[in-house]
Amino acid sequence: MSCRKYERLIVYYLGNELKEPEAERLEEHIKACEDCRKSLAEYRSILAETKELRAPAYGEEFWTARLNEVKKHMPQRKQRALLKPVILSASALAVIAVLAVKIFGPGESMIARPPIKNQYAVVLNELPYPEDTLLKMVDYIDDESAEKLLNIILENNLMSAHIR
Amino acid sequence: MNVGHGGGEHLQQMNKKTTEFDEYYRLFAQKLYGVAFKMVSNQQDALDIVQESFIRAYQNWAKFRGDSAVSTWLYKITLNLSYDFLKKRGRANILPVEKDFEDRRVVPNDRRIMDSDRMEKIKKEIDNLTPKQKSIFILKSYDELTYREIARIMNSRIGTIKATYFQVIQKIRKNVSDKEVGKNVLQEI
Repeated sequence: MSCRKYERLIVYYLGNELKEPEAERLEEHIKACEDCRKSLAEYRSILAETKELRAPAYGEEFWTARLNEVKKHMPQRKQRALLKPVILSASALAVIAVLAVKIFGPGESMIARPPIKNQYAVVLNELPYPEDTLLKMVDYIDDESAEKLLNIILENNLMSAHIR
Repeated sequence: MNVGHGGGEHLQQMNKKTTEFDEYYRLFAQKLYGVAFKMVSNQQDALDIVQESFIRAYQNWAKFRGDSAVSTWLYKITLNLSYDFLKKRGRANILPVEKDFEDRRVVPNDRRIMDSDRMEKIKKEIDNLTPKQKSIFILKSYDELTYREIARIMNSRIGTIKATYFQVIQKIRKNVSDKEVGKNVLQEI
């Protein structure tokens, strides 16, 4: 085997990844070969030096505080996951519309009703989500979406008759 | 509120999940921070990556139980987030601001200058690696994982990981030693 091939084995040897017969063969060769001895010493030194480069360490208290922060993030993310389909999905809007029609009934003047966003709040209260989640949902719905929803409500007057 | 048998079981499962999660956090947070820090060379960004890794891990905890070792999966998430971060930073053309590796050595003053010069070269060589080369190098040299474990984390073959690791170490040795030889020759002249 040429010294070039031993160079590769030296690196694996230093990483404790050589099986015994190969490791023994390498050790025998190194005893007899000055170039490979030098090579082994250099690789050992490089690997030891790279290991000295460590990220600044933090204590247990720091990581406990970080863990608590991770936990704080979790419910918020879960809520976002709940909000997304409600805001984006047309079927969810339809459900809200049906509920709204059920509550307000057909034929009632839209002008006499409370502002659009408050209507949403009333409608959303019928949905099985906690109050704080619902309030966030209302915040998420912009005026344009509110108008779209009202149109759906108006278009579904027939549906309200069906529900009743 | 009606908490029947099912509700109690659910609560027990939640508690079990939280306890397991806490244990893994304590075992791996510092390690993953080390990986992320060496990948992105910035303390705050590395901490953010670790935080995001654990949030994602918690959200998908049930999916991964039993599929593979949790450690493999945690390393995978951290590396993927580091790659994403490096891509974004590359697009924004921002250079890492800090590279405050901790140098743990206590050496005499006269040796310190020479050694720190050599360490700078090694750091530069590591920085110049591709993200994949860097990952393999970090997982092998610092975290002392086996080639098999690294192959699992990186969805690659053991042979590829072994060959890449060798190329990386060989390159670092060659460039650091060559520069030193060049410098010695200049000093002699």
